[in-house]
Amino acid sequence: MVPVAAADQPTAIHRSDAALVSETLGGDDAAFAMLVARYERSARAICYGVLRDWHLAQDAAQDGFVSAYRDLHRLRSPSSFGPWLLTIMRRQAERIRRRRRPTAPLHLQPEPISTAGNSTGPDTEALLAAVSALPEHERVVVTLRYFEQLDVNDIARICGRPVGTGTKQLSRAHGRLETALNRSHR
Amino acid sequence: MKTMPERLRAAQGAIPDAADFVDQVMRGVAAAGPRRARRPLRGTWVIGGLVAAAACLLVALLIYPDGRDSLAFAQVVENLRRARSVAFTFVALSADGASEQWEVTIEDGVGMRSESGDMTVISDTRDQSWMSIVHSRREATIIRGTHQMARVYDWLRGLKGSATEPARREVVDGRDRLVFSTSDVVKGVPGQAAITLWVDPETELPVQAKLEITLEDRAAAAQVPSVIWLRDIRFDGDVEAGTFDTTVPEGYRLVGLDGAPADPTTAPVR
Repeated sequence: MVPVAAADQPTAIHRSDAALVSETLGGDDAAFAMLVARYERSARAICYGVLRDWHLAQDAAQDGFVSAYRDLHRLRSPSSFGPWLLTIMRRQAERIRRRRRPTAPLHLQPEPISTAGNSTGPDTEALLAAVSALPEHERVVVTLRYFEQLDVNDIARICGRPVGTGTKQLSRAHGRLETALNRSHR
Repeated sequence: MKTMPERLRAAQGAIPDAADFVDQVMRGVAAAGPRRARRPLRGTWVIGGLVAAAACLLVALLIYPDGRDSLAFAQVVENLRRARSVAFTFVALSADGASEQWEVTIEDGVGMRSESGDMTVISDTRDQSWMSIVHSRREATIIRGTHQMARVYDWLRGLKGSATEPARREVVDGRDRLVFSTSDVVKGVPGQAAITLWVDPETELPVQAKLEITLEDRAAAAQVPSVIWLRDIRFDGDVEAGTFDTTVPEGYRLVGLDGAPADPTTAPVR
């Protein structure tokens, strides 16, 4: 049975990013936890696209969320939280990748970053890398649609944009991903 | 061959679950807590600023119970200088009782256009010349110099009155106006002008101006208006493109001051 208080509360999916950002800035950390829950898979997927290692991706995503929380007051438009956050994630992952780059002499073959059992298939790796490299807004709609499994109406509400804009961005992203994958297979 | 949405859904299945991810992040957030002190600090600055502004306003109101009366003449002239464009009705009265009326538009640094019945006068500030068009005769004359209507407006913008407060309040067309009076010498010929400006206390810009000109030389006095009014002065309205175009209109001929055909390549004529 659902407790009465919890049933009366709007679920995270009914709250826009902008509303949750405002509540967080007002001191409600539970609102930020909702944002974390909303974007965690997307964030880890974006980080994985850069790092090709799920453990590292998880660490990068956690650091990225803490960094976003700390800098939330700098976000000019609360409705742009998604693009802003995933950009932070990508940068965080790139920072970690740079730190892990081997410093051995150039004639030695550097160790691969991936570790056995901690990576995924090459096609998925390439796809996640391509998602990670999408333009900001397309990256958000793709990750929310496919990784968080939200429908386009929820994505529109979360991002504060018309449904039509979201579907167009998805369509453009599909084309861009096709192109990127075809290029990587050549 | 899978479609892109199918491939993306398949990729979703490859993302491993992270059961305590949110909790771990929130623990990191709690540890980062003190760094959020920036936001309250920002709010403190805003509130502090508002309190300071309110205090300044209170002091100003105590010193000047009717703040608008403290408007200085220099501020009105400064506001005039800042205006991009102006439109007004120009009325000139001569000592012998003759009068003329023009509708004038001036854009700062661009030009002036005035209309009166059959005539249009257009001046291009950059060319330092003006064109007089008589529509009924389909004739245009280009004359070097600055037209007197533009000169009168420039005169107002260059005034250096020392009044720190308006001389009086007056109701004009049902509206409260601040009235400033000053005087200035007339350029070029010995004489004085008494100048009165009616200023809108809201915009701090004149809505009406009167220049009463007294020249020492009677012959010269017969050549210039003794009283000039600028009425219904409006600032920064839209000015249509081409308003100050001094190209001779199609179908019009260019003539000299004597009415003889003029060579367009040698205009202006004076």
